[in-house]
Amino acid sequence: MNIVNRPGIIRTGNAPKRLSIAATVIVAAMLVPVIYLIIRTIGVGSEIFELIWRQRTFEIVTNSILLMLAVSCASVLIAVPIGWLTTKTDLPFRRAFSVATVLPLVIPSYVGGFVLVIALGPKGILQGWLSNIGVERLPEIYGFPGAMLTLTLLTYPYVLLPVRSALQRLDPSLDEASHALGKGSYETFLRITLPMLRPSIAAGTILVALYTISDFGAVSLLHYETFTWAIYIQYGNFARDMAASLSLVLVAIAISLLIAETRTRGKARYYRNATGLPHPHKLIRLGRWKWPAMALCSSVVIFSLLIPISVLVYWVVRGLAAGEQISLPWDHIENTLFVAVAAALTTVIASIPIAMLSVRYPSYISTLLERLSYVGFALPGIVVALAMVFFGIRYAAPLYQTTTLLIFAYMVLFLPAALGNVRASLVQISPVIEQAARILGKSPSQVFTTITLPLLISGILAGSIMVFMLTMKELPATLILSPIGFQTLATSIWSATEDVFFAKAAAPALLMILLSSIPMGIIVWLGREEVS
Amino acid sequence: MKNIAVKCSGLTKSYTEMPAVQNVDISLHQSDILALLGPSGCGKTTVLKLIAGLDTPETGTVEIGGNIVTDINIQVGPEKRKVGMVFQEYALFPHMNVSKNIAYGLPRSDQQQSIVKKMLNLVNLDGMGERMPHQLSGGEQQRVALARALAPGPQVLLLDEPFSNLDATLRTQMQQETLEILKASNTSTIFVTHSQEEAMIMGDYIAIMNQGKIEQVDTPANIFHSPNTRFVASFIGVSTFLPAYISKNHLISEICSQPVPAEVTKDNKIEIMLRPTDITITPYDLGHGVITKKIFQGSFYLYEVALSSGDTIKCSEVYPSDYELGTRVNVEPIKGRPGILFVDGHTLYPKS
Repeated sequence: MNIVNRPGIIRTGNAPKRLSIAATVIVAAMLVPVIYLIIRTIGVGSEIFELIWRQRTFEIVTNSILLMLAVSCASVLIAVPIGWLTTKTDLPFRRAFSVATVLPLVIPSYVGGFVLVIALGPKGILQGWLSNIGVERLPEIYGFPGAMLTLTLLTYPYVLLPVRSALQRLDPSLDEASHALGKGSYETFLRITLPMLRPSIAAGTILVALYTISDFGAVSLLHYETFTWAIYIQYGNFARDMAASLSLVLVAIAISLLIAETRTRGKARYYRNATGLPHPHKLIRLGRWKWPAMALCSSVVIFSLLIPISVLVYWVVRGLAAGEQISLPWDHIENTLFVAVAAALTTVIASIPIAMLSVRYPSYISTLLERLSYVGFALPGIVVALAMVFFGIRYAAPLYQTTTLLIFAYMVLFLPAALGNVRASLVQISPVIEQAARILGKSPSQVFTTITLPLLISGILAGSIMVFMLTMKELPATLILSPIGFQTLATSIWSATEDVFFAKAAAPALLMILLSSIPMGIIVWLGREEVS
Repeated sequence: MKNIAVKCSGLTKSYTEMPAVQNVDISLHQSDILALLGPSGCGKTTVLKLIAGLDTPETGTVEIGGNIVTDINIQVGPEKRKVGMVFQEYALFPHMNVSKNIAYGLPRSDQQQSIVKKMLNLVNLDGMGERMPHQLSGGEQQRVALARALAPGPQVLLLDEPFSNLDATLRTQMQQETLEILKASNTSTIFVTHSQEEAMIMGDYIAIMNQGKIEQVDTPANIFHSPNTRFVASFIGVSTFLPAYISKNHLISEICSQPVPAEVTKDNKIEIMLRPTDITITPYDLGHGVITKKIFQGSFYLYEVALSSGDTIKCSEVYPSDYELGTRVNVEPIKGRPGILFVDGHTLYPKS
């Protein structure tokens, strides 16, 4: 790898108009929910400040920020060691662990939360076993501890993925240089590897943080009063103006996080040098540290993946044993796959112009556009959905109650997941390769289709899979925006849990996990780990 | 008179943090090879990019094959300029094999495959068409990049530090091979390098650039023997500059004196530039120099001699003369080689 820092090479002039326009239009669409929130909030008038500056608001803001910080830190503490162990060391079952540690991402937080309650809650499975040996009470899981545990176990892969791909791209000669200068593995990790990982850790942590402040499933099931929870309650009470003003505060938090993350990106640009073969990584021998390393990876996999799946299987089996009819909801599967595939394709396509603009023509404006497109990820699904309803009824009546509007909402919510992957791939394609193609007589659009697009394919694939998985899980937007009678796996899980038919909820939940695990697993197994 | 292949006039481009390019004029005749030589950061790659159309100048014009491609109102896209370019990092398309890389710039036709074959033969890569770029050595990648650039028959070929990623032995070999290919195909070429050796081996002409300006364009021999500016003299070959002053109609330096030219007055800063071969040293106990450094260069030794004023001069003595460090020596100019006079940083009679 070669750090190209020659101003003459990097600068490629002003962005083509078509590209700027495309990116601006897409980002403007991303901001529809924010516009909606502003309109709503203005409707409140001067009361707004009284509404926001209440003791109660202060409490839930503190709760949310506390949860966000705790989940982010815990995710980094889990993800960085696992990332390092599964890429740089001779950890046994490395590949299997690589796949298994990423998969918790596919478990929806409402399933995760509900599994935790079943497993560890009062009168839960563990309590049932322990009562035989006289344990009457378990530590309280409701509130902060439960919410933090659930969200950490389900979101740490957002940090793990970019960290792993950064570790794989790291030039091993940097490590060798450090060893040659007399530094041991530990010091090399702290002083060389970790600083090089900083941008990837930050990029992953921002996703964890945004996910945490916008999550509803886990916090509501575990009774932890956060922002999203308050927003839902306000919507439930039809206090939409209040909900909108709370949501705007959420947007403000998200924007400050995004600004902080932009600062960590630094100035170095990493292009892979085309000359010479990269020499393979030499794996670090763990020796007797093999066992603690195995223990760490295994316990994470057990808690984040095996327990949830076992609990779901247990409920399905119990339901079947009780004579309950569990049939495969084929039309739900079909609907789910249809919207998930459509959302994945639309979102990835929409992310390409933004990625191109921000990587190839860096400027304040292109960075701003790229960052703004992340705001959707911070918004609870319900806010985005209600914004779509608001604008749909007024300005796009023919689209209202159609899957088109639903897919558009998914795009607003999940564009950052696609963008991160496409961007990471694009950063690795040296602009010199595109210039070489121009000089050989091809127009910018021919260069894009024959050179850039084929080289972007791994990022596009990884991005689509992320959006596919997120779309399958998304509940509130699906509930509010689906055409009447349009059921997906997510909505059937929800209606079953509402009716407390756990067995009925468990079967579609397992199906959903299976459906998104397959592409996720394949992409990680094949080593195409540019997922971020 | 040969036709003009490329003509740049008054090219200026500034970046915020770089001096870039100031008022650069270049003209290249058909089938000539011009080396653009200068220290890193002097703007030579920017000139190449301005010619290729990868960057837009603030002022100035570029003409390729008699057509204006850059002007105040005109900026022809790089794809329509009929230039070929070999990049420092080769920029091979990693997802295409060698043949597809070479065919990329060719129009779809029946002849495409035969041109690719001809090109592979030209660069000595027969039978390697199916290889992927990552399976090639550095030298092979360089050949593919050259073949790819030459395949569409460009009006001018631009090479950006093409050999800098190769090891020394391979570099010399590739320089020779490339020179033969360029001469055999009569390709007008501009190449950028920071190695004076490479510029002298490959260039019919050398343009010396410094801080965004062209200091001199000339044949390699003229650049070496008649440098126009102090920068050119110090950049090319080994040289010593000795200060000189006027005393009683004579121009006196620490080791020689000569009549004062009419144009020089007491207010000018005067220096005499001497190559190591212009000076000879002989051991002498009362001499005014002491040998402080001695570098073995095969057929001769290069000595550095500290003069009593504190200035240092460099001189070479052919083997077998071999003096110890610390030897006191007499320093004299060789007869008939008075050195070159620099007045305020420029030669008195610059070659046009």
